[in-house]
Amino acid sequence: MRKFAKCLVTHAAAVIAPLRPTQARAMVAELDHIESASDAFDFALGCVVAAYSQRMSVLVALTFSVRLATALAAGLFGLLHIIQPWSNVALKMRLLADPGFTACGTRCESWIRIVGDLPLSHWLWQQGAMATFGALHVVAAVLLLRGSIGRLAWMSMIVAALALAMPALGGGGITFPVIYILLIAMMLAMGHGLAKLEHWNFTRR
Amino acid sequence: MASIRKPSAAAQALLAAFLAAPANWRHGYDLTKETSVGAGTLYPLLDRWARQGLLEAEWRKADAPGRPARHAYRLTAAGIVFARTWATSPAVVVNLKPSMA
Repeated sequence: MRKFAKCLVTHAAAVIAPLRPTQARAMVAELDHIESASDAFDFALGCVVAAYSQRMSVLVALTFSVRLATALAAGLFGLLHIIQPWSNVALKMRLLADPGFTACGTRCESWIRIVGDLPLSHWLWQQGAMATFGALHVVAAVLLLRGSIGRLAWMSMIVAALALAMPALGGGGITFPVIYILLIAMMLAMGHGLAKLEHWNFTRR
Repeated sequence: MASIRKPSAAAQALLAAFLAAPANWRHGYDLTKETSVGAGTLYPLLDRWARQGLLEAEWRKADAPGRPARHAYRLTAAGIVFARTWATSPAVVVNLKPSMA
């Protein structure tokens, strides 16, 4: 029980140390002066409560929620880019094997015609480009969630450079690159703003 | 600057414990034992009072050999005034923990 109490106090100290380093050391030192193991355990539990109650605030919960929601949206956006283009590749391969194939009757006639008209290499290129964008967005979402804003800025620049290169590589017009750049720039601005807000909240107490 | 808000019952009990011997240095665990105020409430209060200038704190050598130094607290002059204003009467403190009587 004493070992567990020691673990709890060490954890509490780690939680509170960035905000109150002296209090963190005081709690750890105090545990060594408690004779009874059950008292030590009670004291340790109290230290954990103290550490979390001092670190938590409405603003922290709010900024974390916004960060989580944005990261989930960006992650989903990225996953859709990885998964969706496979349907075009799969349909093209099916059409190559069976030119008379109709996937969904007249409802998607135009989709089948477009996929059939363009070569497989086009759809593979599209899959590669979209999957790259998707993977970059998933990584950006993870970086945002972790609060690694410096790395997120680098990731945003890579996404912007790739988006700008797309038209030059035969990847369509400028509309989609502009949308990608705007979205990643908004995500970076939000991450930076949240980090500033969290820093202000952390240092004001 | 001391808070003008009325302290909680736990805070009042702690103030009474400090006020009982204002010149003495007190430790966290001893205060929890004496007042039945848990460490979860005690440390945020000690931290707040220290930042408000009501408590002074320092590391003091342990009485027993081989033990680490302890962080000790005692009321400042402003803290004594504050404690005299808000500390609970002995009867209330006794109700919190009969062994204090």
